[in-house]
Amino acid sequence: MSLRFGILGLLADEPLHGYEVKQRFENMLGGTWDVNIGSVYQMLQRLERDGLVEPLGERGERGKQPYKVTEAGTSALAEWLEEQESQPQLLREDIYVKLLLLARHTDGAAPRLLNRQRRVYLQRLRDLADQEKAAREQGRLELALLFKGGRLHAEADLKWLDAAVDALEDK
Amino acid sequence: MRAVLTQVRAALRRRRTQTAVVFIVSLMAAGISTMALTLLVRSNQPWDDAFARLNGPHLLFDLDANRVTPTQLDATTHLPGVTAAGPPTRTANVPFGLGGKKGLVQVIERADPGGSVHRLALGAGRWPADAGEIAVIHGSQGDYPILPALGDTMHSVNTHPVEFKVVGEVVDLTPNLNRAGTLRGWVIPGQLTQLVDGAQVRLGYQMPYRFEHAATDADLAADRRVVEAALPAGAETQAPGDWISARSGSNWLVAAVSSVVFAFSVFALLAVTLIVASVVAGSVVSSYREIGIIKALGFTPAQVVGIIVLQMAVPAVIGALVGVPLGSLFSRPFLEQTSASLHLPAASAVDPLVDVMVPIGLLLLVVLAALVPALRAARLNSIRAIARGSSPQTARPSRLGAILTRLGTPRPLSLGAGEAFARPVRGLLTVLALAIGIATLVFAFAFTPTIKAVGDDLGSWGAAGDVHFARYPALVDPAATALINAQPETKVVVATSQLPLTLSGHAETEPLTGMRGDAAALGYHAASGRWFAAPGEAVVASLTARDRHIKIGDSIDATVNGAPLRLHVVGVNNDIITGGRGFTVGWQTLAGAVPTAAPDIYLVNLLPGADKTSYGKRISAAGGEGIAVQEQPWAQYLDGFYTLLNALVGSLALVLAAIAAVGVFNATLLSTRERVHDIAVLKALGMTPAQIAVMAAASALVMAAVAAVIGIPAGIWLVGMVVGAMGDLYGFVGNGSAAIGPLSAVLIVASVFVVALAGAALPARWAARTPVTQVLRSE
Amino acid sequence: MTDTIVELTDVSRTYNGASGTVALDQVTLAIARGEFTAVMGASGSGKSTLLNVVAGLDRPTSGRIVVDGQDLSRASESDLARYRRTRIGFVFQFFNLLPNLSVLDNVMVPAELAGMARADARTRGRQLLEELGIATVERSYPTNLSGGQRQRVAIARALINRPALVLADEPTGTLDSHAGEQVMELLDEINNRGQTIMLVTHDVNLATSHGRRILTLSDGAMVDDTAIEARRGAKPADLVRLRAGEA
Repeated sequence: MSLRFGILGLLADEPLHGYEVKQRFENMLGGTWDVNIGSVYQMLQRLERDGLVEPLGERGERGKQPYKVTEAGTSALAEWLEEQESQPQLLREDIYVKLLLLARHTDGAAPRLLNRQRRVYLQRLRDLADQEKAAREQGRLELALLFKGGRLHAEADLKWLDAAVDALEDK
Repeated sequence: MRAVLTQVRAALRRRRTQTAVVFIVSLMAAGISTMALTLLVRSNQPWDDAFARLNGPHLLFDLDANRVTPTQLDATTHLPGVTAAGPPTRTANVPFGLGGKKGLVQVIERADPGGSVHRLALGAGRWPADAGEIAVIHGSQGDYPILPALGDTMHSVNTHPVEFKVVGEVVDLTPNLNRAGTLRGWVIPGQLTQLVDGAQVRLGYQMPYRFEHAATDADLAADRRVVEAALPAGAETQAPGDWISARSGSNWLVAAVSSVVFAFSVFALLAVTLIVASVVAGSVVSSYREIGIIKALGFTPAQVVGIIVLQMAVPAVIGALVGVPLGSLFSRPFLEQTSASLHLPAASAVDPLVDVMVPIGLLLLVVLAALVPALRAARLNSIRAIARGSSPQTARPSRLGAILTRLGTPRPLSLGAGEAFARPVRGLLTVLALAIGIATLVFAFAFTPTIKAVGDDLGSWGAAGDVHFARYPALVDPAATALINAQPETKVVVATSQLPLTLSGHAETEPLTGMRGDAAALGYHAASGRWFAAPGEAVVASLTARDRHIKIGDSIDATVNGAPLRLHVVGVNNDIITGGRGFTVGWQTLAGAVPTAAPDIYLVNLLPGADKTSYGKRISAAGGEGIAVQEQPWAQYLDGFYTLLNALVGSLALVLAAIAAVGVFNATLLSTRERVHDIAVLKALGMTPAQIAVMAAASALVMAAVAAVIGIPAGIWLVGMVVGAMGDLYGFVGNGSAAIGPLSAVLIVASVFVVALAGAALPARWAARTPVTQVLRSE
Repeated sequence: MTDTIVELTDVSRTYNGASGTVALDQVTLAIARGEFTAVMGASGSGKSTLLNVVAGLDRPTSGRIVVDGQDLSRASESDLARYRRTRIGFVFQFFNLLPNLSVLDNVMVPAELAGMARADARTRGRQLLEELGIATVERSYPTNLSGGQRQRVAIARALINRPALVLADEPTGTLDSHAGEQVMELLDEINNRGQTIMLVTHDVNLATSHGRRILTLSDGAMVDDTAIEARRGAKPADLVRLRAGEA
């Protein structure tokens, strides 16, 4: 959903062609998302089909076609920004799956493995803190907030890990 | 109510140190107070009981038989104000000999010891029934040159000696205080006739009176004037004996010490009040949180006050209940001492009124002291009290600490000393309690030496010589002097005689003592000014000087035996044997006015190593009826007196010093507890246990220094006051502060710090052991 | 050269006798000079006990501790006191300044206890206050200072005797995040100058963003010892990836 509205949001600022969209999008997210140019074109076509964007003028040199937001697109974007996020929590990291499998064993290996995972999280916290600091120093407050979000998630993961270790040790 | 009691019980169990402090100081205060009050109330009890039982005389007149008749005396029985009197008995002062010694005996004719007034009690034996029998005052009752006992035979020393066998010993409640050393003896009527020989022994009458109003000296003076007005002029041979003097004289020793004990007990009670106030205030401050909680639980302010007050009252009452019997116990020896000398049963040391009043009084003091901080605690807002935690932090910078720091005082000292008055009220209370302890220590150091200095001044006790002789008419002075000088052991002889001196403008006479020989060699000296040297110079006794406003350098006009005498006062001396009265002059001065005067007392100092007893016996034997050894009972009295005084003053001072130390203990404990957080921080910063102990004790040292500034002058003042009062009573001028030499000054200051450090030692050590991590964690 | 400054061997600390609580359970640990170590763990995990034991404020029930060459297990109370004021500096969560002493006097206390001349202590104290940016408050009393200022005074106090080891127990626990960050930067700076730092915190962010080594305690036992590094060149995409909705 966010790629669709991310593109729509960028086009709402000013008309852009496909490659410009990809560059701005990546810049906005501080390198946390490598976007495939193909996906961008695909999404632009879908948006055009849905009547949310429309080509602006003629296709330029080397086939660069700028797009602009339609009125329907503006109101759809506003509507999306307004609505609350209520999708289910995404637990996509492999560690969760590993946990499900490890919990079946009773040889005590689980806590050891989970503790090793801690070290990854600890280092990640440090890295995110460094990134956040760097973003803040560059004046990219929204980006710093993004890293902070990551940091808080990592913290939550650490807590979860502790809880898991405790629970498995007591088992 | 039950909830309150539960709280109190819990608090007593938890706050053991505080409970112990209140218990200990209450015990000591109750003990001292009981002792003081018991002595004051009970020491006269045996005498009072006996006096009432025997219907003793308020005044006992001695009258000249040549100037007054029995009929005239019988008439005085019905004078206004006289409730009982007489009958007159015939008396005469007769010299008696017994075992080589001689002494004057006032012989009284009396058929039986009964009667309506002045009944006599027999301590031993029976009343004389026949001629040649005599009953005498029991020897140990006073200070007499001869001490006849039951079964002895004594004989009169006059032209026709008469023998009397001692058949009874009489308890005399009103001894002849005006003529010290005169024994009394009772014989059946008619016996005196053979003893009276005109010039030397004259007949007189003794007449006892009881009056409607006789409670005070003023009453007695008025009563005396009433009787005198009814008698011919000059009928009295001496001032009448009065019951008040007899009563206080009966236990002079206890009277002397009970005022000291009383002063100490007032001090002790004061100190206890101060300490309890400080304990309570401290405990309230340190239990703010607790008070907040119990208030939050629904205790009313009145219940909170009750809990706090009871926490103090319970240990105080228990302390008093233990202290009262101890006080009674320690007063027993003194009471026994009094009654033993009177041959009366000892008064019980248990005075129900005292024993009830002391705990009640102590309880009241403690409750009052606890009430103020308790009321403050009751007003506490419970939420704020809980929030304030165990104790509010004192964030006040200490000026004293800052000054000490600037002066380069080591950090632990300046940090601790600066806290001495962080809580001004508690600091002040502790300083005052400590000052009281110090004052009593000063008293202990200075009082006994002062009294001992007076006692050691044997000249003032008339006991300057190694051996004293009394001369009787059978031997003339030159012969007696030659006899004494002939002995090889004789070193110095001072011969004396005493005559009544009338100062111009005064009716009462003062004793005038003439001294022949080197009085200074015997230890006679002036307390101020100098001893007489030239003819006409005189030394005046201290109380005469005071009462007659005589100063050194004054010239006094007087008459002796009708002859005018002009005395130039060059010094003041202590003369206890005359009750601090009279003048002492060189023999030339006395003989100049009274050429017929001859010495009758010889004070002899012997060469080193001489045996006093054999010396005395040899001279008595050689001189026959003309000379006899005179006993000097005072000296042996004094030794016992010092022992008693030392034990008493020493132990009382120790008790008060202990109370003061407990006060310091309490203040230091409270202060270290309140500052436990700071102490833990300092310990964490690397303060060694020793440095912490120094810091904790430093405030005690500051308080000790301040208390010393108050307490030492107070103690010196107290010594001066008590010595002055005793001097008035016994006729000497003592200088209390003079007894504090450099050594005692050092000892006093040292003991002040010992007391302070003794009190601070335990809390300081506890502070040094503060568990840093626990204290800093419980934030 | 591995210069060890703190060495714990099988250190245990039990409270209330044999059956009591185990605050430290056979901890063995070596900290190199110049390290910035963060000790983490839930409350009651024993992290403060570990710090107190290293600070010589608490004695282990068993085991051996050697700090800066001194064997604490054998030291007397007085030796420990001298150790505390010369070898270590301690920064507390609640500052623990003495309320009745001025800022400068507070800073000078450990120096004076260690016997430094007052004039020297004053010079050194002023210099530290200057470095920590609080020279203007030297005459103030702690109650008049903000939390951040108080903690800086406490840090100055911890540094006055130039300790080789600085111990900090939740130094930012009562501070707002800005003041806390400043305090942590001070600790970083102290560490950069070569002083060894042991920081106790329950805040994993604080631990990871300043510590180079994270010790994790649980029920008194050391369960983890992680060295972490600053990876300047890390790509954001390796750390966080925004992927949501229809890709």
